Amino acid sequence: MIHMKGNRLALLAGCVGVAAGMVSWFGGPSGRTATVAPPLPGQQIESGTVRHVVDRPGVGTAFVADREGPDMLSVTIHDVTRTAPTEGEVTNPAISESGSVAWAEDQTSIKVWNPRTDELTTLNRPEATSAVFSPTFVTDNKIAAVGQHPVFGIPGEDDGLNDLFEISLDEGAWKPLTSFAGSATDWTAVRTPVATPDGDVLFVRVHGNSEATSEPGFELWTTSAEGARRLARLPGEMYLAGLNDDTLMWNARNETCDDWGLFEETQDGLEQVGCGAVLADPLEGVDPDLQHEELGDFAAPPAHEEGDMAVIVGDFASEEQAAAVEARMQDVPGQRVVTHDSLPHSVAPGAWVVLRPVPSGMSPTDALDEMRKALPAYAEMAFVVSMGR
Amino acid sequence: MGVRTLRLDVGLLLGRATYALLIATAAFLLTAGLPLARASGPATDNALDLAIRVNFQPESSELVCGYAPDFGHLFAQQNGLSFGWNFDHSDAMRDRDAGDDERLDTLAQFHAEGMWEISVSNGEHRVRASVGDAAEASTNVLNVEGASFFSGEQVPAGQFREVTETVTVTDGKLTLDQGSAPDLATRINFIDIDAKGAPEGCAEESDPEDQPDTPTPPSDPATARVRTTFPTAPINVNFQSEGSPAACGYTPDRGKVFAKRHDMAFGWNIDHTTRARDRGLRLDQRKDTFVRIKAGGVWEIAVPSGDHKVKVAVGDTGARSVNSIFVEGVTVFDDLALETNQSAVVTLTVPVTDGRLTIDTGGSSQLHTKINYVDINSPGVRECKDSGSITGDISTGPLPPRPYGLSGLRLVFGEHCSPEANDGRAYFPSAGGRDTHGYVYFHARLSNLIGNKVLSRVESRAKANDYGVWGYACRMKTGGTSWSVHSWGAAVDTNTIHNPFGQTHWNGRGSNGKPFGKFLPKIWKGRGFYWGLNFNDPMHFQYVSGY
Repeated sequence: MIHMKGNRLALLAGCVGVAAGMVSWFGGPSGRTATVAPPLPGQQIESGTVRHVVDRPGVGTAFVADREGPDMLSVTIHDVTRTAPTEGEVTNPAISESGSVAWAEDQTSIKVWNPRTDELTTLNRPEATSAVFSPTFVTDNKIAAVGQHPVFGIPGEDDGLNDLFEISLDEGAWKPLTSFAGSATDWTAVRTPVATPDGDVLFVRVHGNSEATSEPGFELWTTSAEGARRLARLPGEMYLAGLNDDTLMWNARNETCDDWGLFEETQDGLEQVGCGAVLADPLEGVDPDLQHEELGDFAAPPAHEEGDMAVIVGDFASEEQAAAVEARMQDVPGQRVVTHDSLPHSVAPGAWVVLRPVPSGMSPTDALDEMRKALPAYAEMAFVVSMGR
Repeated sequence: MGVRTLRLDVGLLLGRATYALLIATAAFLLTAGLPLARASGPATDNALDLAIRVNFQPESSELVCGYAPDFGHLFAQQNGLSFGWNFDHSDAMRDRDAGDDERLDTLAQFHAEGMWEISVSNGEHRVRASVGDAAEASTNVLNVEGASFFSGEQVPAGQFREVTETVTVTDGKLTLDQGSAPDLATRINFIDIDAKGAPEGCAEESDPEDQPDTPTPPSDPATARVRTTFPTAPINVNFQSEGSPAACGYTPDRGKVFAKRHDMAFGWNIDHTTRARDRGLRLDQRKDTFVRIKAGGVWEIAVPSGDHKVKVAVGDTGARSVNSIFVEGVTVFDDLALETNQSAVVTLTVPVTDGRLTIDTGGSSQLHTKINYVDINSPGVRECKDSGSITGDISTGPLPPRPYGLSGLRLVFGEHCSPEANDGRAYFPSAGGRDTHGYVYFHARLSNLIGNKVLSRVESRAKANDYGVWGYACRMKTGGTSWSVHSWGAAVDTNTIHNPFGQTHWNGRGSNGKPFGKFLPKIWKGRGFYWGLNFNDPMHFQYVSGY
């Protein structure tokens, strides 16, 4: 059960069972000293934009320096810092008890690297999946990761249906830990898996409908010997940030941070302990791989010009139906019922719509809002279109 | 402003909350782009790549960029190197077609008593070797110059093991064998010798305009570089920093290494992005920006061999400079000292014989050469078109120029999956299926841009559009916690069947099966959209960059 408490998110005690002594960013060896510079939001380090920071108490830390082209993965194990042998886009590193490091590379494979021996193991993505990411060590030789199922009709860069998988480095076969269902529009994403000392894996399931204009649902799930099950519905967008001893840590949006807020789960709810992304993607970091195209090289986009834009309400199956709706509207200059012949770029042949030119001095979105307030029954049938002049 | 440092002494005496707060602060700092300095200093990688990379594969397999292919033939000179087997292994080369990394998808199985060698200089060499099989479990023994890399390493199907070690060569040949392992036991995928990072030129900037409809492998993978399209004169290149406005009429060089970009191939031998500046002091952007050349820094641009008229400008509007410039070895400036806001320009004609015009500092000990711009065979600056600017409140009103980053995206389009994100509508060819029109939905603020400016051009050759065209979709990007640009209704996918995610080129085939080249990408790009081909998603056009 989850409720809002003041301006904090609150989880009632007992909804999540977590054992002690687990890996997280928030534990740490005693006596560690770190020297950091003052915050300069948006600044990048010389080697890239930092994202996905992990720490295993008593073992080490790792973070990704996201760079144009192959990323750098900086790993410090038992106070020795090395750069992992990465060759592509690196995401979500994880550290094992024995000091091995795993990460997803180009979302096509999981790499496992032993910094002491330099041995690198590549794990192909699970069979019949199109991507693999977010590895976490369940044990020293067992890794859980998220696989993406290919779903026809979904843009390849976006998620459609995820499941959690597990692989033994000794046996070499991925086994599914979850079996979510999906369709071309109903999707499920699995995010921020975190292994517990018991060998279970906690994760956030995000699910939604691609055609909807509403906030998708967020849920906390766990795997177990009996299968995966939902532990709680979450009140909004939030992701796991690891465990601190027996305490679950979260990243959730926070205005005072102007970024992800960092929350510790307590018996009274979620208590903010700081700011910053842990397993989540930083909100303000610019992806260095998406800066190839020079900003000044494209032609100036045309602004909409007054008189060019309109609000349409439709489609209606007949001129009479459209006219009946138009009769209920407050008239604006030029309002009329039209077809594909008048608006070939906005109306399908055989359909009738009510066309309401956007009045001079009014923004199209304001005109749309005005129409929707006047006739809420037709709100879902109203669009801003160009009149094509 | 001075730089302060915050020292975090984390010890047992700290309470958990305090500790968490400190660590959280550190997390924020890291997230904001700042290192936990001493524990994790960034590596630099400015060394020239003298690597040898060999991939073991059948002759029929796709070549791997930057790798010389070994097809299992006898030791011989090939691809500028001397390597091969002690007896023919061409029957033991495999391509499993089971993974995404072609290096791992292909392999050679050592025959009993099989031995592979490559000529290298005597001395120490850092060797990286990968074994494993995408389709079958394997047991691998691999000795490299007598050093045991793998000794009976059992690797499950679909997994691979790598070892990198330094070995010493004394006989001019690096030797690989599998000892007394049985026939076809060891499965070697690839070998890197003295290699650091990815092969040069393979992580090329994908200027989509130069991508062929059908990809062709480089002719010489051992020395594979970016394919060069010779530019037509005139050429105007301005040296400037990332994010600074392009000088009117000039192609910007932002200090990046040599690669294909803007219909040309040009850049530096070592990264100069941190040396690029925009002073913001002068209206003439050509003189207000520069790259300060590093020691050993060389800038090149691919041009046809022959004589070229070259104009070079140096100087700094904000500081003094001491400039040494050589063009194709010809002295242009020799330790020329300039005061603040002084510049110098020289024009000369030089012959190019190797297909690249080369500019460097001639080994000058001075590190204050600041190069502003280069004109090649150019009578002057070309006619310019202003790209517009953001003014006033941009949450409503006219659509501003393409935003940058998530913050810019939210500033222009609000929140993801919002009701406004699919309030725009257009009736697109092939949106409902091949040659079948259908509705495409997008953010209301893009209604005129997509529904009029783009669509009217697309309709002029409607057959260029092929199934399908997709707009608004409330989804997450694969693998992260970031939301798809489609969630803002600020992206459109087109011709999706022939241009899937992961494809590194544009397939311009239309719904009638005929080639339309870059007709569609030029329309979208010409109206301010950022092409997803930059991240191997050729179907995708979005009205934001940097996200």
